[in-house]
Amino acid sequence: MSELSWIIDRLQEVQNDEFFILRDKSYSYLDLVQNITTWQSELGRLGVVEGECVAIIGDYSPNVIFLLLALILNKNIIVPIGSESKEKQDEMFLVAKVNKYFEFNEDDTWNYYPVSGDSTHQLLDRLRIDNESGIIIFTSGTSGKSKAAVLCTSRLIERYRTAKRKPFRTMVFLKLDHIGGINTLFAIMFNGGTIVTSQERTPQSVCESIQKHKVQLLPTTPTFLNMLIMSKFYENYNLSSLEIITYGTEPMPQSTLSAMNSIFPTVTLKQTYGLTELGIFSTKSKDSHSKWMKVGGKGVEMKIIDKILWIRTSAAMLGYLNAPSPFVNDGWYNTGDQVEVDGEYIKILGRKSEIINVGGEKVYPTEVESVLLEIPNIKDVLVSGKNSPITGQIVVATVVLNELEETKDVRKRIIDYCKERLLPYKTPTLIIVSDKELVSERFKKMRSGVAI
Amino acid sequence: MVEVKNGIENAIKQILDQKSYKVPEIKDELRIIEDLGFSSLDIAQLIAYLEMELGIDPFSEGALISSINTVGSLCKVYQSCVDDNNIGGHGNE
Repeated sequence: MSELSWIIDRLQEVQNDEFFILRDKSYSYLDLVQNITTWQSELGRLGVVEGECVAIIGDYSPNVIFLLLALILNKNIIVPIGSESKEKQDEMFLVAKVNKYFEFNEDDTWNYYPVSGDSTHQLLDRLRIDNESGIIIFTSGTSGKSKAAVLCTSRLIERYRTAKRKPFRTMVFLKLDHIGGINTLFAIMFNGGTIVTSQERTPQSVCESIQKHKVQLLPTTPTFLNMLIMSKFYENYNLSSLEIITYGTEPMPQSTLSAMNSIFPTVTLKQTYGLTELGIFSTKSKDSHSKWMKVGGKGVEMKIIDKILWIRTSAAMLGYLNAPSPFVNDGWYNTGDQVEVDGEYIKILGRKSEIINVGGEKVYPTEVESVLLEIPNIKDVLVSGKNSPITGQIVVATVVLNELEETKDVRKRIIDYCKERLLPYKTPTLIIVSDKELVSERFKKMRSGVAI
Repeated sequence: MVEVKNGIENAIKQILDQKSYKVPEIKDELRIIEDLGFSSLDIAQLIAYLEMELGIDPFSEGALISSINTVGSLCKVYQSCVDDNNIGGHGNE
């Protein structure tokens, strides 16, 4: 059984400090602690008991975080679901064995609903027997079916219990249904930092928030940094409060890193590394100009086999609820990331797989293909990735038609159809109409090497 | 320059049309993010379209994304790439 009483002690140490800024309203750590207590009472009143799986549908807001903490302390298994994934909630509830859920509105008010259904699963029962809180995070899976990773909360936050770093006023960028978003929240909260949100994830909105709230730490992605560089909004705002910019979820182009160093010469640029299955690791970049980094921390072991990085860590997930365990018998996990090694430092070169990484979001070609095959006059389709200087990669669809049709019209029809069925980053950015009759078997063989 | 400019204008119009945005008069001084409202995916699409239409990708040849703030600057980057390729003997003889 894990002891989580340190959480409240840690938050009380900084009770007068600012915890969260939302639309100019500020919440202190004292507000946080008091609201966690209020939420614990509310959970008792609603009959939410320990061990139950509870979904939270909503994005970053004070109440979402108060509830998340109350559920952790109540030893619940939490299923964070972003508002944009709401249409898939029934499927997610079924996989994650959700017993109850809270749905948050834009004004931070909420509604509560019980869910009926079977709640047993070997991995969830293990958490319950061990009296542990858990977090279930959905990660992209083949054929469009998301895999539900079960993480043990106390193992995820152990590194914050044992070590403290300087508190930063931090812009939150990744959402709470992403391992990076959860990790950012814990890193801010357990180090006494301040959460700052931006109304939109556009360069202008982010720059405005940095200036207004004197943000020191900006965790982001190379795609966002490309947009910031292109937009030149950094010239219109005072961003001198920035001390650290971290980047991850996709490979960083050297040209973007160089541009960032010349625009922000006094800011430390640091790469982050993590996976839903393993959590986020401590990293140390060689310097701001370098993509070489040390990855590790307490309880983390690494080895490299045939240039591929393998990791074993105590913070790893217990397994997937709806897929076989990816761990080999002794707990090692194949990250699939190709790396170069220089002494203690590694450089991530990317993954050799058919998964397409669009601005840090993973896309499985088969999911997109199955949607495109539903469209009239599409006889066959091949979806593949193509390098992009802006988003790392883009989704390319090569389609074969039953009957001749103007390419412009086909593109418009495909994009319109995908709007309702796929998230924007999964929608093909480039659609090529091929006049070659190709059987699907040959299509599959071509996937990794499609050229335009 | 005319071919490059037409290619860029057409590609921008096609993307705006797909988004059901009103297509403005495409002027050199229009800023791609602020004025056209392009997202990162839209810009990635624009570059991919131009590679198909014009047969070049200046960014794989060293052009910097920091140099394409406006439509005019985008045209310059593509024209310069076309000119370089012609000098290098890869263009139309």
